[in-house]
Amino acid sequence: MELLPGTLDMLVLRVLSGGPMHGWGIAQRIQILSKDILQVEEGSIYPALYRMEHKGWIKAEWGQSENNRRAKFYELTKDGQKQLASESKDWIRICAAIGAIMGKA
Amino acid sequence: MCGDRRHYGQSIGASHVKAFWHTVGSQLRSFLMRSRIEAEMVAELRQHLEELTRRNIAEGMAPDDARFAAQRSFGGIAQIEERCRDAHGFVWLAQLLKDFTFAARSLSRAWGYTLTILFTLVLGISVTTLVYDISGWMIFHSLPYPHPEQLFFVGAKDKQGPELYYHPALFLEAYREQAADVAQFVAEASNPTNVVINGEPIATFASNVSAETFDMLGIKPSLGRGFMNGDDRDGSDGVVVISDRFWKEHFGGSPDVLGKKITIDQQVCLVIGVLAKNQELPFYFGGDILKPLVLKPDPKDLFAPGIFIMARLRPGVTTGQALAVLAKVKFAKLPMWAVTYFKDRRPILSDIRNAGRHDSFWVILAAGAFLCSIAWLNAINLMLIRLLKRRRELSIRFAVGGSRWQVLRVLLVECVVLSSAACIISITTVYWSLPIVMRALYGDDYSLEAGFWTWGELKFVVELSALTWALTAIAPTVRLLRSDVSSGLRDGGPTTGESRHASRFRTLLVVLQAAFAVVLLIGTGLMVRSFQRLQHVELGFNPVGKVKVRVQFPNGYELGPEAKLQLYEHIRMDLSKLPGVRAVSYAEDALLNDRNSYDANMLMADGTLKRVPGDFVDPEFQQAGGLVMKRGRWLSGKSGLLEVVINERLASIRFGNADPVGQSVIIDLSGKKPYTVVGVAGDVRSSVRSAMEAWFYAPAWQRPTLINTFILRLDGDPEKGFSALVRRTIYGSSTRLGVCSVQSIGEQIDVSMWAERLACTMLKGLAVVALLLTVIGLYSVVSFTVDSRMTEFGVRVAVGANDGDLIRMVMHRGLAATGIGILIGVTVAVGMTRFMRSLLFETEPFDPIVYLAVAMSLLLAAACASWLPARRAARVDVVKLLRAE
Repeated sequence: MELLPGTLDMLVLRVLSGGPMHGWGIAQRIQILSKDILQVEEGSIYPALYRMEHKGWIKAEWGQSENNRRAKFYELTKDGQKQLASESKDWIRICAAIGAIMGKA
Repeated sequence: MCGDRRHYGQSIGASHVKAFWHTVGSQLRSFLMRSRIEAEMVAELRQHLEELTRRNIAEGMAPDDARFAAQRSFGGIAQIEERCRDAHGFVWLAQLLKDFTFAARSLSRAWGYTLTILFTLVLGISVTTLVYDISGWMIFHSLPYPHPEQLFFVGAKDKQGPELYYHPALFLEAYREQAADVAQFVAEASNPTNVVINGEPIATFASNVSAETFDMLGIKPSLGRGFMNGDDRDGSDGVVVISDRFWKEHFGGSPDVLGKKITIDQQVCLVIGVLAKNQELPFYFGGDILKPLVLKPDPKDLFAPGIFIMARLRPGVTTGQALAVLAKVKFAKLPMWAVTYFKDRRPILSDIRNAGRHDSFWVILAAGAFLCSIAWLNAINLMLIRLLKRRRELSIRFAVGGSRWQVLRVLLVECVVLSSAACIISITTVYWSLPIVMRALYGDDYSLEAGFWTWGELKFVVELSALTWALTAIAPTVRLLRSDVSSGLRDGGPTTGESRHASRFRTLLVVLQAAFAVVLLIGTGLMVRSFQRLQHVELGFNPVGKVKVRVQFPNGYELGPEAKLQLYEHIRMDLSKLPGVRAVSYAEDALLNDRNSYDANMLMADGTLKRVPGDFVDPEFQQAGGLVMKRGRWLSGKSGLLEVVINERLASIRFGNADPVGQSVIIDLSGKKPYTVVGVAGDVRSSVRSAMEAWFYAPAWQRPTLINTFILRLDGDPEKGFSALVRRTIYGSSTRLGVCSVQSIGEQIDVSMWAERLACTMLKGLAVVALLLTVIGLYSVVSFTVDSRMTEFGVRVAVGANDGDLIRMVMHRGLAATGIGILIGVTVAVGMTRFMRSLLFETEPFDPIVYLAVAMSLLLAAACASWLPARRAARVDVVKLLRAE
């Protein structure tokens, strides 16, 4: 299933809330956590990452990955945490609303 | 709705602001480190790809398949890279730079077009700036005083008379005492006494101003100080402030000028201050030397001195309120004649900017605006043509995936490059040409240093350029947004197949250009004709070789009437001995005095009193002034004899066809007395613009106090140095008698027409430029049309058309468009020139000769502009065309 537009940012923030990770690790995580239901073009998380870094929600640092290669690690900032909290709240509200309508139908 | 990012992102306002600034900072940082960021991004993405490949290999795929599968699941790497670049946010800046370089390159390749459009824009912008600077300055310029809207000149006006700003001295005290609540008043009185530096009388005079003037106008001298409150007390007024120009001319601009002495009417004054270089002073308060005003009003001599009064209204007071208070001011100690004289006059407050302004500046400004419009229309036309020529290139851009916005951006950047280039070139042009133009217009008063440059002009050029960019960008934008993208590729040739709509729009622009040009030219033509008529007006006497010397005794200087007359006689003898002088006469500001004469009540045949202007002159006046006697003789000047000479007009009004000589007429000069008419003189105008009026000439001995002019008749026009000679001669007879001005009548006439002359010169320049621009515009359009129709011409030649046919076809288009433009322009001109009526001298706004001349010249210009491309069409090489297909 395709990702709903705009949710990618939120998912990335959620994944990063578990700790710093590099780009392809995040992509893997999303796939694993969603039990393969969400198919994301792996490359498409990079524009999202750069955009969020630009906005100050995550920060990046070069480091060593598990197989000893240089990789860029992303980490949630305080602003990012606040952003994640507010986006999750909104998401839950919207889903409740949609669920209510669908349930009633 | 679900998934709408904006909806999710609804956080508190503050974090939005923080995010914004973070974004801006990040953008800047990214821009500066862009190559490093680019490298890192590429590395990161590549790594991810390799990781995926490795995983696929680990799962058992072949290396090539693994790589292929990895690429597929990663997504299109080029597009992702592009999106990442977008996310950084500095893309727009880098892109802009690329656009600029591209625009510059493509413009430099099409240098013919670039030069033409730059030439057009620079001409339009710089000429308009010059016009704005020279004439608009007078109208829009804001005064450099604090709260200038509170400043007014106090004047008076009765029902039919002109506005008068010259008041008796005692008015100031009356206003200050009785109207202090509504305004603060200061006054100026010319001090037409001799100014002597080191024994040499100087050709200037001092201006006496109230001490509070400096504070009221916020004037700060560049050296020394201005006047303070104690300076206008009698005895402490021996101080002067001089202008920058006077300082440079007479003291060499040296900083030790403070404390130097200038003798003004036998009073030694110290220089205490020098005004700033371009210090502006209100119209009546100007001068090279400022001295504190000490007023000692004399009820017997009201206008000793006469003063100009400037008022600064108190905060919150409206002009209506002030006028109401001023109207109630009572003047004590007025003699009887003055009470009648001032009875019907109402006070008026006039904006201090109005003095010295002339309505013809509006015409110049309008012409400037028209010229700018012509330049802009030209530029838009040229841009549209270029756009058409580039259709192919732009269509290709669309085809490789460019959006409309991207193509539009290219065009807009090109407009910016052109407008900026035009702006910079215009600034340089104006900077260097402004002093030259000022010098040409205003004469040697202006130095040629290119230093006449304020921020206002710079701002104007930039604003015009911005407007230029906006206007030139609109047309191509509209064109682009409505165009059919693919048609550019489908066409056979590079420029064929444009819609009729576009071609009609271009023709419309040409028509508009012609219309604007016509209106401008007609306005110019009318002003030029009017000025010509003004210059050739019949004055009633020959102005050549006549010099007027205005003299005045210092205020309060007591010299009895007998002594005064004796002195004047003495001076007359001295002056007659000067080389070239044929006759010398003294009078009360007679001969071309701009209606500044004494109006006396004369008893008419039917018993009514009529106000008739007249001059008090001596027996020599007829010789000196060159008046023509029609009947009888001139005044004998014998003391006690009540003689009068009347002019023809007055003779016919008062006496009809009867011979007035020997008749008696009652005039109220100092009481109603009978005067004997001894002669009738020819009519003389009192100024170039006024009509011939009824006039009388009475003997000067009656009012010696009012005599203030010497009229000299020379063999030819005065030579250089004559004025200094006159000054020295008079100074030799009396060191107290101040010489205000020595001016030939010819010069006086020239000066009185300065505004018209200026307007004419400027308008002629504008007309030439407008014509040039119109020709360029028409040439470009016709040239382009010819180029795009070459194939058609080739075909026509092949089927038997000859050169003449082709030329006629091409020229027909250009002339038709111009013709329509002329018709429109003429209609508009007829409507607009109505407003010029007050500026035109004996010229009707609908002067058929002017209109015809303008139409002819524009058609001729259009013919020339279309003929060259037409010839090119006629020389079409059919064989070459067919081969090109």
